[in-house]
Amino acid sequence: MTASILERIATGDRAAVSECIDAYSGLVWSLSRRFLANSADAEDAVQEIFLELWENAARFDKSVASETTFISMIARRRLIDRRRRLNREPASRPLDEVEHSLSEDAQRVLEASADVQRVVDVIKTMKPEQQEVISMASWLGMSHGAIAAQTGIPLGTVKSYMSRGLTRIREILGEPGLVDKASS
Amino acid sequence: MKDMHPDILELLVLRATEGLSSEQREQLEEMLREDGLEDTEEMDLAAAAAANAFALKHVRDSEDAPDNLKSRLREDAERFFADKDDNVVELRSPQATRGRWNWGWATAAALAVALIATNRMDIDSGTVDHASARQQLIAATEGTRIIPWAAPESAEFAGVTGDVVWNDERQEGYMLLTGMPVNDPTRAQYQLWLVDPDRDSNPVDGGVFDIPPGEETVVVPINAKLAVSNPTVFAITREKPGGVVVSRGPLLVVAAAS
Repeated sequence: MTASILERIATGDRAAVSECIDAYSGLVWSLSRRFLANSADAEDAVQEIFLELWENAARFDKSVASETTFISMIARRRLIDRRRRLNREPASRPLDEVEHSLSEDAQRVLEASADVQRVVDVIKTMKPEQQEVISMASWLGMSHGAIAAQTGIPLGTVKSYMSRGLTRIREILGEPGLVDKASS
Repeated sequence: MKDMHPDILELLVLRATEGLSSEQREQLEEMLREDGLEDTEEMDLAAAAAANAFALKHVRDSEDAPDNLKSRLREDAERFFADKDDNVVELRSPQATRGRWNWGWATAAALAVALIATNRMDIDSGTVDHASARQQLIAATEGTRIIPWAAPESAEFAGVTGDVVWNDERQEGYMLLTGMPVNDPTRAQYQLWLVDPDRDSNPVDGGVFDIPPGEETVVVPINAKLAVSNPTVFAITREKPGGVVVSRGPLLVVAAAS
């Protein structure tokens, strides 16, 4: 099986660094723009995220999650931390009012991700109410309390939906033989 | 995923979606320790995968990453890997500090905006203006903290005394250093690091500085590259000229808030 971009970076293949930037900067940029309204903040965050990525490339294990998911996780952790430091409230608007932009590169990466396709399928099997809760928490970054307040779903149920939903999603990530097309 | 207490799972889910406060982080670490469990990124990965799935569903527009940002990423990467190749000093346990430090990957992530130049002295140490500014910060501003340097363990730095003055609201601070050994900036420079517990315990670059000959006492302004909130530890390392992205220590002089 072909080594992924991050695996090549971890083994010292410097050509893979540039490939990684080409393949994933659009995705990381899109995530940063979603979390941070200020463009300069978003650019700083992207630089931070890629440095963290270089440092953590060796931790990537494709049997645990796809490269796209791993990179998204690194990015989200940094962005969540940054937003907390800026004392900005998580989003609280309904989904259909939220403008969302995704670079063409990011869209291609997500469409090519084996994890993403499987997660889409798993989410479709969940109750619409649970889908909505997971969407509001993971994609919009809304707090559990805000979701409960907005939807009228009891807080305990929101937490339960999240725990059970993410546990189920976790179970289908990084299955053997799945490699993101960005790395193949 | 191993069976785990529902409270642990709840905190892992919370971390993955909205982040944890420092109190919640400590609570999670304590609960994992009590149950003999390792920390896991599984919920973080699941939340990232879910967010990606919903992102595709809700795409409305297209916005590419700016070209100049991509150029900066390539420049950052060149410096990062050059630093990594050059930096051979081993990490030592920060015995004089409190809390958990994550020197390895942490500094790389926290210091992105510090990667401005390969050779720099971004702190001008020892001027009279800095001494006055330090006094003004102490005298005129609420919320200013004064934290003394702990007695250094290294014989070379044993005589160093002084303090750190820091104000969160103004993001301004000064180091008072007496007896700090003079450095040759062509061979090595001092670098300050700030530990902010609200930043995942990641040290933040506080700037590179020199101690010039003939100066017994110097006042050095702190030049934090990122906003910090209530930093609990200030530590000085000695690095190659220009400073480093990833510090391996050792920590030469440390001030820890009580």
